[in-house]
This record gives sequence, C-alpha cells and structure tokens, in this order.
Amino acid sequence: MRRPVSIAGSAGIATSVGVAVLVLGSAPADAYPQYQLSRDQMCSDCHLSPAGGGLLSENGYNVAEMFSQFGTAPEFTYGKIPTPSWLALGGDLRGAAGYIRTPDNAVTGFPMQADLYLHAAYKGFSLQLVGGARPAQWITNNGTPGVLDRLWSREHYVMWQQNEGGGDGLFIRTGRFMPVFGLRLVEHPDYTRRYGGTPLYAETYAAAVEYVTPAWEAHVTGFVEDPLIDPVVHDSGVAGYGEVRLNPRLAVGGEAMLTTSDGQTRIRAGATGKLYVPGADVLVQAELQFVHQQVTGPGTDDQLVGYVMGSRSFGSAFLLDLGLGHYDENLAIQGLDRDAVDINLHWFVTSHLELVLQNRIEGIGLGSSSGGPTSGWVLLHGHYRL
Amino acid sequence: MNRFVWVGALFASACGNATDDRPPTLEYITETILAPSCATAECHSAFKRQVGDVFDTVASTRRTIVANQLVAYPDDVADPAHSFLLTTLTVGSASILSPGSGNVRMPYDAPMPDADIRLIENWIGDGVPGAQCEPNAQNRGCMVRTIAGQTEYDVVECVGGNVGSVVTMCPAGQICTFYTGNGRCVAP
Repeated sequence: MRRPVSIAGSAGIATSVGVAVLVLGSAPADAYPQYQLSRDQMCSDCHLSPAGGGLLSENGYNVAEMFSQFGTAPEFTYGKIPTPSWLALGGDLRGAAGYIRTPDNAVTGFPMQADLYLHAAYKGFSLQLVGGARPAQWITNNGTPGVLDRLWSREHYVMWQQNEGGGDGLFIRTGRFMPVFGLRLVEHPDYTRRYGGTPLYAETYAAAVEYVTPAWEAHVTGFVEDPLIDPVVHDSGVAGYGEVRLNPRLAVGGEAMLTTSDGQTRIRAGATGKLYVPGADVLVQAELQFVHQQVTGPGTDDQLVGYVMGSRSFGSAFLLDLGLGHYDENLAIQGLDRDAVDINLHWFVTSHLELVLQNRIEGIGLGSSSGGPTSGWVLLHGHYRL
Repeated sequence: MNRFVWVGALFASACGNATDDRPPTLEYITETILAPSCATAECHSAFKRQVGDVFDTVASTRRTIVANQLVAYPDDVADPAHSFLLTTLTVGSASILSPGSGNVRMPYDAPMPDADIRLIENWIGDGVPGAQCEPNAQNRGCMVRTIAGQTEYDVVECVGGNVGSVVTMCPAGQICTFYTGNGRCVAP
C-alpha cells in the first residue's frame, strides 16, 4: 500500500474534511420548486429564467419580501444601487457548517457559493451571465492555483422570448446552462439531482426550446460535453421535460434523457407529480426515474432513482421539507439500493437572508442481508442574496 | 403521483439477485461505481481532480490507479484488501490534504455499498485488468515488483493498460514509475 509523494498535498490547502465535504453542500442558488402550485403556477412567475433559478423577477422580489420574518427591501442591494429596467443584477453567497457522519465523524464548515448575476434585455432578446468562484483544480507537485483558476462562469447564455418581459410563451436560448430536466430540486444531494442526470455543476453548452404557459410547459435541451474546461459531466445528449397542470393544485410531468459519452450510453425516463393541499398548506412533489445504462464492453444496468418531498409553511417565514430518496444502482443485484430521509427547516429571516437546518440519514441495502454503513449529517446552511 | 405507486416501486426495487454477476472490468467499475460515487464536482471529477485522482472516465481511472499507485500491480493482486484503493474504501487511509489529521474513508459524502467494494476487490484479485500500467507513446510502461524484500523496476510492454512482456529490468540505481520515466529506466 503506497502512494507517490509527488501528488501529495500542498501547504495552505484546506483540511480534507473542509474540502471534501463541499460535495455535501455546494449549491448554486436555484429555484424552490416547493413554491410552484403552492404560490404560483410557473417557475418563471418568480424567476427570469423559463426553467427557474437565479435572478428573481418583480413578482419574485414580492414573494421574497412577503415570505420572510423581517421583510426588508427585496431588490438587489436593497434598492441602493438602482438599475435601469433593461438590466437586472444579483448575487448569492452561501456557506454551511455542521456535523457529518459518512460514516466517519467530522465537524466542519465550508463556503458553498459566491456568484454574481447579470441579465440584460433588449426587446425580446436577453443575455444572462453568472460569474463567481469555483473550486480550483488540483495541481500536482504542490502547485498553488492562481486567482483565475478560482473563477469561472457557470452560466452564460443568450435567449429570445416571444413575450417580451413576460414569464410565458416561447423561449429559445443557447449557451451554457443546466439542461432542463425533472423537478429541479435545489439541494444537489437529493437523489434525483445527484443520480438523476443533473448533478452539481452539470451545466454545459446547450440549446433549448421551451414553451411555458400557466397550464403546461415543455422544455427540450440538446447539449454537448463542455469543450472549454474539464467538466464534471462528460455527457452529450438531449433532455426533454414536460409538465401539465391539470388544475391549479395538481401537476404531472414526464421526462426523458438520452446521453452518451466515451464509455457508456444512458437512457433516462421518468415521471413527476405535484399536489398542493391548500387545507393543510402542504405541497407534495415526487419524481421517479428509470435508468438504463450500457457500458462499453459487457455490462448493462437498470437503475431506479426516486425522490418524494412534502413541504409545509409555518407562519410567514418557515418552510419545513420532509424528503425521502431512493436510488438503486442495479435493480438486478441485492444490496445496491440506498434510501435517505432528509428533513430541512428553512427560516427566511429577511427577504435577503435565509438559514436552513439540513438533516439527512441514509442507509444502504435496507431489507437485504448485505448493504453498507449508515450515514448522515446535520448542517446549518446560510444563504445571503445580494 | 399516486403515492401507492411510488411506495410499491421502492419496495420492488429493494429486491434483486443475491448473486452478483456483474463484470469485474475496469470499464464497468468506472462507469457504474467509481464515476457516480467518486467523480463528483468537488471531488474526483476532471473538474476538481482532488489530490490528483480522477475517476470520471475509463482512461482517467486507469491513469489515476497506475500513477498514484492506488493498486500496485502485481504486488496487490495477491492481497487486494491491502491495496491503497481498498484500504481507503474500507477503513480509510492517511489524509493527503491534511497530513497528520488521521485517516479518511472514501467516498467522503456517502458510503459505498459493500457489494461494490467486493466487486472492486474481485477485479483487483483478477489482476487489475486494464489498469496494470499506463502506456506511453511507444506503448511501454512500468511495473514495480517487490521480490524478496527488494523493489524491482521493469520497463514493460503496455497495451490497453495491461502488462505484456518485460522489455528491460532497470539496473540498480534506476527506476521506472509513471512519474519517473514511464517506459524508461531513469535515475530517481
């Protein structure tokens, strides 16, 4: 058992715990799909992007202000830096600290996100830029990353939309962004994100045609492996997602994705559902995905990925999520399934500040004679929106 | 979605065959185990390359295993459990990022199923096919053996990540590893 010294760590690098655990928490600010149906019908009711996430629209600002403990002006920098109507600016800062047991025990704290957003619009055309910090790539032989190695643009695209300034109609965009697929839950450790085709930093160069109405929406995204940087995901392919809102409180959707890379081809097909129960103020959303994977040479897998989440608001500033995840990496073999219970409590302190207590317990091979260690974490996650 | 369908699907998926007939190949293990478990954004993806290990493609996994001696061929074949890779997955190995802070077990964010670890162990026991060496432009690589307590460095034919015939046994005072020579005997 040995390992060459030449790749060993460099001075000044954060501890293994602090760095490695970033995988648990790094999360670009996305939309909260918990608000769809329970507050509005479409992601684009609150966000400038037709798929949700990132910069808020005027209505999004209003929701942020209303659904917070102490309010405060919701605009960028509290309105102290005014912007013309054609320009929207924003940003997100995130960090977290807590205890993990996966299965070794550790107490940790780590930064998660530091991004700035720009959205400039002219008639039906717009430009979206997201720039900020990225984890620097490891450099062998005790190399220290430079400043530019720690910066990137996670998203940048140009878009044309049929309804200028509106959240519905036809959208066509091309550039670098996340293929639109599934429920698009915020927390990337949620199984349908991590194992479901849209893991953290899976943004890549793509072109999408999207149509959004209050009654239904459809997104088709063609994408290629990022040719400019070493990417997280090497896939090229096409993803489709459609959702029909049968009534203002019930939506069902379908999803499919075909990807290929050097070494494997993967087909994903699945369904989503959302039900809002107004009497209890509970939103239940679920996504179930079947995956068929063909590996170069002998070897195929059939997998199942699922996540169901119930969310309930308490008062004007708290949101409680109970999530159940299931992932079976090979349906033919016992002991390869894992299940997770997530309990997340959000406190929207002001229209700009959010605290989230994130808890997970995860088991492997439940119900079979062999599995693996049980794991979990408790993290306090802070999010400040500029 | 009908919650009964959901629950039924979960229970159905917990079934499966107790016999693990998955192919113990570098390609299969990379694409179905190492890439989804280890090649995440902040860890061993090409994007991050944490501690120099990358597991997101077959080629990068081969290079990582050979270059960083996660599995030393042929020495670890007889005792896969003592390879750096297996040790790191089962009980942990000394932290590289924070030397002296103790052992770190991988994957860091979510444990690996025992069956996956067994498959990797079987693959190592089968001779680490596909990750015995990293070929240079002349399809030559290195093999490091411990014989009677002495380390022997050989230049070998290396095709498809597999060691072929020995080309040269490095003389005393010279070595051949991925980082030093790779396919040639050179002074350390």
